[in-house]
Amino acid sequence: MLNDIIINRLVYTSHLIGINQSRCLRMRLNINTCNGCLDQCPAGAIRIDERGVNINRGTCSECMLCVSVCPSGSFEINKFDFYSVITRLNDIDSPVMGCNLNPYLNAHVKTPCLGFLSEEHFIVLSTAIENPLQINLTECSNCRNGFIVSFLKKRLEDVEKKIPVKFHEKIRLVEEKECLDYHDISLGRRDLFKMIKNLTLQGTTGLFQNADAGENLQPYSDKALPFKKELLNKTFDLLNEETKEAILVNYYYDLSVDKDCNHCFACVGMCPTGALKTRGKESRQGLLFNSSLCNGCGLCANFCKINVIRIKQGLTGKNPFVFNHI
Amino acid sequence: MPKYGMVIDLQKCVGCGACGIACKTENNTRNRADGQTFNWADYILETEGRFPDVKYTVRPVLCNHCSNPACVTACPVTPKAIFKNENGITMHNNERCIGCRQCQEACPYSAWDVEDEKADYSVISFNDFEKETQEFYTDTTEIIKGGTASGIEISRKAGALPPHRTKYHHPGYKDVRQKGIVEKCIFCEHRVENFEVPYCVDACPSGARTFGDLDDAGSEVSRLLRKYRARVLKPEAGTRPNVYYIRNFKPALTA
Repeated sequence: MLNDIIINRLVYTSHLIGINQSRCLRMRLNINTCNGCLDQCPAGAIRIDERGVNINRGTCSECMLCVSVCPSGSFEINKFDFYSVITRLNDIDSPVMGCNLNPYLNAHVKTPCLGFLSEEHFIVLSTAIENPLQINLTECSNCRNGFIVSFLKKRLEDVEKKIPVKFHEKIRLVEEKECLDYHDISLGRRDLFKMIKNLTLQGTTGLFQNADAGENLQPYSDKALPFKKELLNKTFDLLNEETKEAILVNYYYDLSVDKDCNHCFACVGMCPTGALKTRGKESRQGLLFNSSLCNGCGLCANFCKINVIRIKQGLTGKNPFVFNHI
Repeated sequence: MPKYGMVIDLQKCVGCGACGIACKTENNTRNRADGQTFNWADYILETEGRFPDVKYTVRPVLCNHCSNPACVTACPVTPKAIFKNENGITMHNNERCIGCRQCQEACPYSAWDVEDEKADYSVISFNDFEKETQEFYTDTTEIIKGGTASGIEISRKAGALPPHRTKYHHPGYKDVRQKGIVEKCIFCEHRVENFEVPYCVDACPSGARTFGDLDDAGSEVSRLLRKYRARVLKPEAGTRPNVYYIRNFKPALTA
């Protein structure tokens, strides 16, 4: 069994982008018109129809823009552990992050194409890594995925407008080779073994992540939070009060329900992330809402037959991490 | 492709409820709770008229596997979690169901809450988001101290299958449902695939239930439908059911 998994994973290297159809807003609700990934994909490789969500593996250039843009995490990067990226960058004095598309690129940690970096990722990278981080984009101009540079710049600008953190001091997008401050880590004996340990660990976690889950097979009734929201939730406690407030205003959502609600609780089933809960049949007192589990997709309001759900960006005066009465 | 349907002969039906029990054992449906019946095969008692001219009917009910199913139209997910099979069976896919209960609302033969709505039965039942789906059989509290307690414990000690565990394999639905989804009769498709009839048909001691291909003129169901005037439940709903009722328990009243 174990052998099979390892051999399968090693021999049949699958496409880097995994699809979880059960998360897709249009798969959950047929009247939804979310077009995020279709608009974003420069290769036009994504197809959404009555059979499901599909990526044309031939034309897809794995720029990961779909991964970053999907509000509910329908796309995820296979065999990739972002937490280990943070841990490894944290050990280095002037850390450089790059992609693994160019084997000669100078970087301490290499990830799949950097198009996956969302605003939330930037917040986490600026908070969790002590030293200023450089993102090596020097080879992007020679790459088929070079267009991601403008997206990353835009995202970094946007997040800087929203959050009172000096992002330009913490994260630098480096496009010119001369500007890159890269020092190869000299390896002592200990470091070498540490590196081998880390690489093995990273390799095996990738190997066993979702080992049982086949593509498109996750039950629709399972609730799961998109990775970027999960990241934000995990970093939240590390932030100062001012930043917390700004994050609550920009990345969290509040929900209210008019008193005409007939307690059909269709929204509870519809919610892809499990942000809504019923209070049981006995109490009939309506819904519970947890803002930290809400990705703001608006499916609940979209689906509500009598139109009583109001969702708005920004949460104030409530604890985002508990189920509140609404 | 056949188009499966069922004919229930009310003159033969003695109201013993064997169909209901057979269905519960075959499909591991749980006990009635929170306004949900979980009876895929159920029966209702109808009394009409005034003494001495009384008409009493036991009417077995189940999913009608309609040709124009309201539940399928209502289902919001893609691909549909409730859909029509090529063989005419209205199937439910456990993996894709999100538990929004729109099918239950749309179905004219179902009620959201049989107690609140004072409904006699409900074809579609809903498993709560939070509660265990097999509370009764997974409960391990001891009734007699030091003795065996729940069904699951007794069966474990006896080395038998737990009472809620008739195992079958089907790509679309599970033998035991998970939390937060609806469930309904699927004409025992796992049996039909193996050229067996649904278990309620098998179990009926008086042979009141006949299952077969409505498109095949030579089948028993087609023969019965030609011979007797057949009725369906709530024809005004426009769902075109494929479960038909013929005759009546009182021969004199047979049309």
